[in-house]
Formats: sequence, C-alpha cells, structure tokens
Amino acid sequence: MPIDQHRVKELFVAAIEISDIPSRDAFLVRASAGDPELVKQVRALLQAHAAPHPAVNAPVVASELTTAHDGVGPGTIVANKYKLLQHIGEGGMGSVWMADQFGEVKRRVALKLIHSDRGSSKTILARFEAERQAIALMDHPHIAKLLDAGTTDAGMPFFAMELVKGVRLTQYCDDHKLSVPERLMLFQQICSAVQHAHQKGIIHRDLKPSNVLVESHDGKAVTKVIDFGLAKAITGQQLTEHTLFTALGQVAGTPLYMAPEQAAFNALDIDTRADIYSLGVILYELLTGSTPIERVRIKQAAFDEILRLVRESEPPIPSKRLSTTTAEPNIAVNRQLEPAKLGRFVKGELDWIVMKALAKERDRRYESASSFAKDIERFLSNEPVLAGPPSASYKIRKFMHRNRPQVVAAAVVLVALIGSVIGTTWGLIEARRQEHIAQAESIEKDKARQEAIERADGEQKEKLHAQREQQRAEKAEKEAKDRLDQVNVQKQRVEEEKQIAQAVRNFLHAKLLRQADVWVQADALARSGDLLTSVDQNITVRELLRRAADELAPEKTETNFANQPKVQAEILRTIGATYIALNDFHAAADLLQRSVDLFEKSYSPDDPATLVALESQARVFELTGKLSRAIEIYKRVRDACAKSTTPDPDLTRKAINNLGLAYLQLGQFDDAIALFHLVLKSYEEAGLRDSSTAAMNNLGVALVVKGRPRDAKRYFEEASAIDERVHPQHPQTFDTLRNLAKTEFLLGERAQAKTHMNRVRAAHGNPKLFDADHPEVLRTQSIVARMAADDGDEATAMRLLKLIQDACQRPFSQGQPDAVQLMVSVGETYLTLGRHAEAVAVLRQARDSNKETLGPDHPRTLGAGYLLAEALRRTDRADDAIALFNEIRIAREKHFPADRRTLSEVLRGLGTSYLVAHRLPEALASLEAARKCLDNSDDAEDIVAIRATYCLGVAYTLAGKPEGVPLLERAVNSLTSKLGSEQPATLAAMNDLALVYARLGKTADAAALYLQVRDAFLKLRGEDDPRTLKAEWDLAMCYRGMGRVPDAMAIFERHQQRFEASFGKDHENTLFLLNELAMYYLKMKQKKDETRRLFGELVTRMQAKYGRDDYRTLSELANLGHCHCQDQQSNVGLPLLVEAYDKGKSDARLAWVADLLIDAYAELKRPENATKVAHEALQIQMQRQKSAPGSPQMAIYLVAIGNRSLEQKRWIQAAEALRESLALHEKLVMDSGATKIVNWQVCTVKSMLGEALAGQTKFVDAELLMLAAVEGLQRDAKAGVEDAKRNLPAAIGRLISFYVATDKKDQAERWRRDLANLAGERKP
Amino acid sequence: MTLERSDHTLDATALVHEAYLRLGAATFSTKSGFIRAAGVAMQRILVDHARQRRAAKRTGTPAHEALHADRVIVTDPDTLLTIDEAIAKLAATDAAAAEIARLRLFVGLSVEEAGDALGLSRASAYRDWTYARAVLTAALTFEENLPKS
Repeated sequence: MPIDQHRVKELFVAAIEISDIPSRDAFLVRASAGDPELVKQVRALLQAHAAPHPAVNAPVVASELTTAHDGVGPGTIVANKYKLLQHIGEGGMGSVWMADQFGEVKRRVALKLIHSDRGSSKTILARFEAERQAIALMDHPHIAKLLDAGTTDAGMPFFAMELVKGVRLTQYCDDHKLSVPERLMLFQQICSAVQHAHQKGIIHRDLKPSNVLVESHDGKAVTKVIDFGLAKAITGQQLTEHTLFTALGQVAGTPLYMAPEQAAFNALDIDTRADIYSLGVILYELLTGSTPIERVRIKQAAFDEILRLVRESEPPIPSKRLSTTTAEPNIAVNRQLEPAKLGRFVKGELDWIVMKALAKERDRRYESASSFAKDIERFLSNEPVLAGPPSASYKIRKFMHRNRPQVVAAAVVLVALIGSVIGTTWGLIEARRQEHIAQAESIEKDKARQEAIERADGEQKEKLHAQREQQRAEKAEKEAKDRLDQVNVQKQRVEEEKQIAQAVRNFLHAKLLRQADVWVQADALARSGDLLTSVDQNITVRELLRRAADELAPEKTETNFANQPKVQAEILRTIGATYIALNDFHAAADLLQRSVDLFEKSYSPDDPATLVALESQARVFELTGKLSRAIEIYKRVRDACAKSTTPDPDLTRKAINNLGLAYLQLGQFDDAIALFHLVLKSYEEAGLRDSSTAAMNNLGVALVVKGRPRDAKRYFEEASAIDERVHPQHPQTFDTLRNLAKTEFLLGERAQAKTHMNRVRAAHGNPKLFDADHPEVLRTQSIVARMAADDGDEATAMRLLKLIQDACQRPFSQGQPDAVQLMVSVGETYLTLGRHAEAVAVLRQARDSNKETLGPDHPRTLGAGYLLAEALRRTDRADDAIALFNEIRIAREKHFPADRRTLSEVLRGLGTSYLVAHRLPEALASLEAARKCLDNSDDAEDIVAIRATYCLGVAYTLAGKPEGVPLLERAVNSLTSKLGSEQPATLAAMNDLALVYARLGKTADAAALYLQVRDAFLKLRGEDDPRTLKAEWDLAMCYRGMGRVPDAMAIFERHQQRFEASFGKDHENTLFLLNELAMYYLKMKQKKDETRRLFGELVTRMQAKYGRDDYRTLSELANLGHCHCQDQQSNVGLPLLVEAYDKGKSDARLAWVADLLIDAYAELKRPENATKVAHEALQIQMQRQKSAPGSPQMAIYLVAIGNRSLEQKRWIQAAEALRESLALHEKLVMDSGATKIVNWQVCTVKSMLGEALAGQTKFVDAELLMLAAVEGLQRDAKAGVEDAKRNLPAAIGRLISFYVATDKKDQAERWRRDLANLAGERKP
Repeated sequence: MTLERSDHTLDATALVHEAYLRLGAATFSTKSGFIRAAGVAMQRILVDHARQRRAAKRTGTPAHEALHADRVIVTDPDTLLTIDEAIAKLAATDAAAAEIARLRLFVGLSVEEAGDALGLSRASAYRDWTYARAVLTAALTFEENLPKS
C-alpha cells in the first residue's frame, strides 16, 4: 500500500511538537496504528528536520553581503583567535572553514562551526560534542587531529582541526593514475587509521572516499580520515552524557557505502564490522571504478527501496564488474593496465578479499581492519591470502537463498535451447514425409508390375496387349526408380540433418549444459521447497552462451568445425535465436548474419534452411527498430516460398504475417491489414480457420490502431470464441480476450470489457496455471488497474500497480522489453490517476531502458517517450515536455511518415505543452498540424481526430478566436454520439465547454451543460458520489457567477451535509459554502437565527483551522458581530466587531470591517467613536496606499472624513478630504469604465465639496459644483439608479442652503419647489 | 505472434482543462498571483542557469556565482536541480508546501511573506514550510551521499 503523504505530514507536524524522543516515538507508533511504512517515512522526515540541509535553510539567491552562512563569512573572527578565510565544506550540522589562527600560535586550521540556527537542537549539540570528543581521543598519522575547541561569542561550540590540503581518495587515485598495487598500499593506510579508531572505541560509520582525503608529502601520498560526524562509541564507552544514535528512527551513514545492518531504521546493533564493510566498498570502488550497488540504481530508487537494496542486493565480484562496465578502457588506463590485464589482475584473490569484506553476514567479514590490511599485504607479497572462493555447498545454499523463479527461468532457457535444436531442423520432418510417399509409391509400382506379369502369363493370346502392359509396367518401374532416386536424395538430406542435429546437440551439451550443472542442482534443490529472492541468473545463462559463441568465433571455427559449415550454421542460428529470447539483439544479429551466410553458401539462397535463418534475422531487425531491413527480408522469404516447387505453407504464412506486423509498426496500416487478410484467406482455403486466430488477432490490432475499433472487435470476438473452444488455457487465448476487452473499453462498452477481463482474471488468478508474477498475469493486472483507475477506484489501481512495479523491478525482469512495456502501462495508469510525479519516474526509466535496448527511434521508445512527455507537461515541466515531444515528432516524421494518427497525437501533445508554456502561436501551429494530419478522418468515428479537434478548439478559444467554440461543440457532439453522453471523456469535455461558455458570458449555455453533466452523474453514480457532488458544485458556482444566486443557494442548501461530508468539515470549500449561505441569508434578511448560527459555526471552525487571529476567523467574527448588531443585540455584537477591527486593522483584506464598525457606532448614535474609527482606518489606508494606487475603499473613507468635517464646520479639512476623494473617484471611474455604478457617488462628493468651498466663501466654484452634482444625480435618478434617488434630496438641500446664505431667494425658492415635487413623487 | 499495443490515454481532455484554468485564473488575487508567477519564473531562470553551469565543464567552480550585480547564487547547480525536482515532486502531494518552498527559496520571501502571498495563516505557513524543508532535506541528503561523478 502506498503511504498517504498527507498522513505523513500530519504525523510529522504533530511529532515535531514533542521534544522528548521516547514519548515522540510512542506517539508515532500509536498514531500510525502500527503501519511500519508510515512510521519509517515520518522518522526519515524527523531526522531531516533535526538537521535541515543548508541549501534549503535560506534562499538559493542571496545578496553578496549575507551569504548562506548565517552571518559568518570570510573575515569573521571567531573566539578572538581565528580569522575565517574560505568556506571549504558543509555538513548536516555545521560548516567547515579554512581559518588562520593568530595570537600566540600562528597556523592555518580547519574550523568546524555549528550553524547558529541549528544550535538550539539538543541532538545537534550532542552530535557535535561527540565528534569533538571522538577526534580528541585519537592520535594517528592518518586521522586529522583535533587542535583546539571552544565556544564562539554567540555561545556556539566550535573546534579546530588539522587542515588537510588534499583531495578525495578516488579523485587522487585517478588523477595520479595510481596502479592497483599503489592503490592497495594507500588503502592499507586507511585500514590502519580505522584500526586505530576502533581501538579507541570509535566506529566511524560513514567511511567513504569523500571522507578520506589524500595529501602529497614530498611526492608521497598520505591519507587522512576526516569527518567523524557520525561516529559512535562502542558499548561501555560514553562519548557524551546524551544518548546519541540509539535514538529510534535514525539511519546514519551513506547508502552506497553502508553495511547491510546499518540500513535499517533502528540500527542499534552496529559494531566495528560495519566499518569493515565500508572499507570493502571503498576497495571495490578503487579497483573497479564503481560501487557494488551502482550509483544509477540508487538514483532511480525510492528511499526505502535503497535501504532494501543495501540490505539485499548481491553485487557481482569486482573482476566481473570490470568485464561489464562500459567505461572500462578509462578505468584500466587510470590503473596503468590494459583492460584485459586489469580484469585478470583483479580476478581471483583480489575478488575474494573484497567479497570477504562485503559479506552480508558480519561473521564472514574480516574481524578487524588490521586483518583486512594484512590480507592485502599477503596478496602484494604473493603469499596465499586468507580469503578464498566460497565453497560449492555455500554457493548452492546462497543460490537457493535467492530466487526460485530465476532458477526455473534459467532452466526454461536451457530447455528452450535444446527444444529449438530438435524442433527447428527443418527438412527432417519434411524429408520423412517425402520418404513415406516415395515408399508408398514404390510399393504401388511393384504391385502393378506383378499384376502385369501375371496377366501376361495368364493370357498369352493377348500378347500384344500384354506387351503393351509390359511396356507400361516398365515405364512405371522406371518412374518408380526415378522417384526412389529422388527419395534417396531426400534420405541423404535427412541423414545429413540428423548428423547436424547430433553435432549441434553435442556441441551445446559440451559447451553449455555441463557448465550449467550447478543450476541443474540448484533447480533440484529449489523444487524441494527452499526459496527466496534475487539475482544474476540470466546473466549467467548469457555468460554460458557467450562461451559457446566464443567457440564459434571465426578464428576458432577452422579447428572446431572443419568442413562442417552446415553444423556451424545451425549452431549459430540456434544460439542467435536464443539471444533473441534473452533480448540481446546485438549478439543475435552478428551470429545470425554469419549463419545466413553459411547456409546460403552450403545450400542455396532459397533453401528452406536459409529461409528459416533469414526469418530469425529479420526478427532481430524488427526488434531493433530497423523495420525497413526486416521488411526487405520478410519479402524475400515470402517470394522464395512463392517460387518454391514444394512450398511450405506455414513458412509462407508466417513470412506474410510478420511482414504485416512490420508494416503495422511502420504505421502503414492499410498494407498491414491487406496482408493479414491474405493470411486469413490462406488458412481458410486450406480449411484451417481454427488455426488462424493469431492472424485474426493481428488484424484486429491493426484495425484498432487504424481507428476502426468496431471492425476490430468482430475479429477479436471470433478469434477468442475459437481459442476458447480449441485451447481454452493457452496464453494466446487470454491475449485475444484481453485485446477484445481493451477494444470494448475503448468503445466505452465497459460492462462487456469487465466481463471479458473477469474471464481472463479467473484463469490468471489460478496459481496452478500461472505464477503470480508471470508476465501474462501482470499484463492482465495492468489492464484491470487501468480500468479501476478509470472507475475512480484508486485503492485497487494502486495496489495492482505496486505489485506490477515490484515484479518488473526484480533483477531478472529489469530492462526486459516485456517488463518495460508493463512499466509503460503502469506509467500510463498513473497518469489516469493524476499521479504525475510517479508517472514521470516510471516512464523515464522505461523510456531510457527502451532507448538502450531497442534504440532511440524504435516505436516502443517513442511510445514511452510520448507518455513521458505527457507526464512532464502535467508536472508543470512544459519546457521539458516540449523538447521531448519535438524529438519524437522529428523521429516519427522521419521514420514513420505513414502513421498520421500517431503523428497527430504527438503534435497534439506538443501543442498542448505549448499552451501550458503560454506559447500560443506555436501551440496553434502544432494543433492545426495535428488536425491536418487527420483531414481524411471522420470525427464521428475516430477518437484521435476528435481529440485533435477538441484541443484545437481549446487553443482557438484561448487565443480569443471565435472559431474555437464551434470546434469544441463539434468535439462534444462527436464524443456524445461515439461514446455516449454518459462517458467520462464526454462529461469532461462537456465540463470544459461549459467553462468556456461561462467565460464567454454564455452563462445560460454553460448552465445547461453543467446541468447535463450533473444529471448524468446523478443517474450513473447517485446523489452521494463525489463526481455527482463535484458536478453539483460546478453548477452552483455557475449559477452564482451568472447571478442566479437563489438557484446556487438552493443547491448549497440541499447538499450542505453532503458537501461537508465529502470535503471535510474544515475544508475551505465547506467553509466557503457556509459563508456563502450565511451571507445570502444576511443579505435577504432571512432565517436570522440560522444566519447567526452559521457565522458562529464559521468562527469556531476558522479558529480551529487557522487560529483566532487569522484574517479569515476575524472576517467571520466581524460578520457575526454585524448580525448581532442588526438584530438589536449590539451588546453581544459590538465587542466582536471591535475585536475583529482591532486585530485586523492592519490587514488590507479586513478593511471592510471598519465600515461595519462605523455603521454600528452610527446606529448606536456614538458619532465620536465612528469618527475615530474612520480616521484611524483612513490613516492605515493612506499608509497602505503609499506605494499602491487608490482604492474605492479609500475614496469612501475620504468621504466619511469630509462628511464629519462638514458637520463640524471645518471647511478646509473637509475640502481637502473631499477633493482627494473626488480625484480618486474620477480615476476609478476612468479605470474601470463603470460609470453607472459610481457616477452618483462622484456627484454626491461634488455636492459636498461645494458645501465645503461655500464655507470658505469660494462661492463661484461652490455653485458650479453643486449644480453639476444635482444635475448628474437627477439624470441618474431618472435612469432609475436607486442610490442617486436617495442622495438627490440632500444635494438639493445643500443648494438651497447655499442660495439662502448667498441671498439668492428666487433660486432658493425654485429649488424648494423641486424638492417638494420630488418628495411628492416619492410619497405615493 | 501477438502484438500488444498500448492504447493511448483517453483523458487528454482533462489536462487541457488544466491548461485552460492555468491561463484563465489570472484574475483572482493580483498580488499573490503575481508573486507566484514571479516564483515560477525565478525558479525557471535559476534552474536553467544551473543546467548550463552543470553542462559547462567544471574546472574549479567558484562556490558563489554572481547572478546580478549584487545577487549571488549560493547553491551549487546539482543541489539546486535536486531542490527543483524535489519541489516538483512535493507539489504532487502538497501544493501549498511546495509553493511556500518555491517562494521562500527561489524568490527569497520570508516564511510569513510567502504565507501571506498564498493566503495562509502564519501558523500554517510555518507548518508547511517546516514540512517542505524536511522533505527537501531528505531529498538532498540522499542525493549528496551519492558520489559525484
């Protein structure tokens, strides 16, 4: 089961609050409900938390003056006697500096400082102290010495060590091209240092080349072991008073160099032999240039997988690694040896020495570093070494202890070899058949002659007739003789082939089987019941084959097979075919070429034996992506068969079929389909329809990729019906059934697809028929996983994926094309599940593997690359996706120009990646090209065409082009008619189209679609399904957006409980929903009690989720306060508003709270409080506005200030505030273009400003402003703006007061009448 | 003789949907939207930079490298790329924590500023950051312990 990362986070967050380690641990165990994997992951994080990496503790970019070393930099003086010079290293808990000591002692030292921001951690301090003490205890020429220790001015501990001016061990050895003996001598120095530490009771626990530096002293290399940062005291000798690494859940050390027993969370039982193991790894690397577990393997593995590797993997012996390492020439040159010599030098005793140190069981390692060094000494002085090859019985036990399936697999390969020898000697059977015919004919002739003679004797009178009969008989006799001659030729051939078969068998037996004896034994043991894990089996079989092939090397064949070219050709063909089975195409190609050449020479180019070899050769070309060459050969075989006087119909059909498969891969679907039809016809004419199921299946596959799944389905159906009748348990039967199910799945016929898959599962689940990790079983599971993923059953899908992944990553399967194909399907299902990061990891591995084995342009490599690119795009790595898609596009255009459909898909992927990367013009170009690829395809039929149309529609829409929407509509219609309106893909597209409609303002259309989606899910999944709920949510949000608030709220109300249950009580969507409802009720002045209850609930939940002082909590607090005030409960409400205001006044998002509070005060007739709040809010707002443009909020505050100032007759102040407000209002109107909404506000402010100016006796301006204001308000009022109507009387009132004050009585009178009229209008 | 061909994903529609949302969502909160976009841009610049540096043959790479006149990259390219990958991975399960890490590490915001830009409370910003830092540390420690080629 995969671990839910949210759960990991939850536990981690809770655990860091507990400082006491035992209680923390107890908590973890309790809270994880005994899930060890969960605990493991949380512990790993806790460990990381204890010592954050410096690179993630501060921004990756800093200004030069304050670099990442928390205030410490070159020139810093430490403890008044060290001056830092240069940063030379970084550890988990501290940094190491080159420093000058000044004062009494002057010298250059390495100073280790603790990071001050980590100093607070007790673990760190203790660990630091442990390291200091450990170094202080030791005094050895090959260990860096402790010189001084103390605390910095800031109170942080530090210590000074001998400065080692060296480079890391491996680098030194390679830079100086040290020979193997020189390396060994250097290594002995390290052993003596480690021995010293062990004697002082210290285990280093992190020995690796980077912790062993090499200095040159007078041209002599001197090693220094550094970094005792993980050192541990041997029992009984406490380094510090604190318990250190006995704390639970810590993995200390470096995986590549770590002893197996260290690779456990909770490795309490570590002793000096762990260091011996690490020394062994170092020696291994010194000899071979790589670590026993290769770096790449570790890089690809997940953390727990790495630990498993460390514990369980069985590394090859060094000499063997040398023989398989690709960079070998370099490695040898760096060791002053020719490659071949290096291998020979290491082989044997050095192998044994290294492997003894690397024993998984500690008892089998050297008991001390010094005995390790001594054995190396013995080797150097040519004495017999202590270490030796493992005993035979140990080896077999060990082998047994690994993996039963592998043992069986090896046996299978061997059986296959022998089988192929017997089965493939063509001619043998054919010759026998001919022999029978000839014999039968000859008996017939004898009989005829006998009869003729008898008749001649009996009827002398009819002599003439008898003579004629005699002649006829003689002629028959001659014919019979000719026939017999022919038979003799055949017999000769048969004899010859028998001999060849015997010779081949002898050869293989001698060169292969005898050497494989150990496996035969192991296999027998395995059958007796012992079983377990992994390794090298196929490599060893390969090794055997290689030896056999070596015997066939051109220079050896003279002696081995003098004058037996046919035997040689047959052996070459057999071994070549076996290499194909082992997926070593390179080796196979070479051998088969030679086999073909020999056959052609010794028989003829058209001889059946030659054709069989040619067929194998073509297969290699096909598998390595050289399809045109494969096609050439298949054609040749087909033509030769057609020409032949005694054609072998099976070979003919096979050649045509394979030719079809090659065309299929090239994307020439029509040619492939025609050929498969030809094969079918040939079977039919021979009355062998029942044997033609493979061809039917292939025809079906071709039709599917051609985009004709419905036609394909017919063939799959017929083929599986025949297969199930003829051989119900044959693997091919399930293959066809599975293809049928896949096609049905593709057609949206899910129920049928499931029924068929269930039939396959029933068989594949039967342990008597199939092993659990049989490739067929895994293939079935991958489809079941995919279907589960599509159904939203993530748990089932994940369980199966994990199972498949595990099986594919066992050493025997790793890199095998079948396994890789399975990994591709795993990656694809991860994509369906939305687990994009996992998809990327799996697919990258699969693609790289294909690239290596099949070549960069093989359809499978490109297919895996396509999915990888899809995954990259979905992990926000659009640029990587674009690069990859482009690579694939170029390869496809070059090698598979006929396959327009796949090219269209690649272009579509490329285009959507450009979309994600915001590169719209390129996106449009790619997507238009994708659509163009399929110009002849009918949208209604071909899903690929629909997708292309659809994506192009989206792109046009994004580019603001009107032709996008019709394309989207067409795509939705096609999907609806092809898949039905209730399929996930259709519904997803509808959803998208709805989104587009909504954005384009076609809200009614959007709502209609959303409604359709909702109804579909409601029907398919019921009211409680998450998908139904999501659709309900979308619909509600759409209604809300289009102003149909009551409809939106109705949905919210109806599903309130379900949404809460589905999202979770504290999910932001739930909180949003409750808030929406409450605000709605508040606005509609409905359900007052419910409104208060909702706001109360929101306060509680927000507080629990975000804390009391979070702006969200404060918002709800203000809302609650406001409700209470509205309901005449200001004694309850006011304090809440005050709290919300006080705590949130500096938060821009809570600026509106001030409004509520001002209102509340105003309502309570406490203008002085209201003014105070308004002033303060304004101040804050002004502060905020310094760098940002004005907001509507501010304009309103300014009005409030102006209003208060007018009341107090502070004209100048009022005018200032109002003028500013006016300017801001006008700006806002200009910016937003929302004239109607704020015009009445502008007018009102103008009117007020007029009053302020009048107060200052600026009558001319005042009058103009007031008149303009009234005019504007009147206009708006006439247009029905309610706010204008409300504010008009006050503005007229002001004008009247003005005219009264300036003594313009008739004007005042005129406006009084207007005002009265206005009042009269309003009253009725 | 049987050919298994993987059928390509049917759910391409879903991801175009994603792309649509990504392009269309800019209207939300201008401030946080801008900062987040800046974070992504900054990350991309730094990652590209790191890739180039790593690709260039390493001859005694200086510990710090100038990006602009007064700004230096204090993280070596390998580490930076590892961080980049780890953030991408984290984002798959915990978008908020990944976003905080991005803003903190690549834009240089304080934890609180980053939280603010994302609309997180102080407490949850710190919680997410602590978690992200531990996850990234785990990824880095792991990567670092591998010998460098």
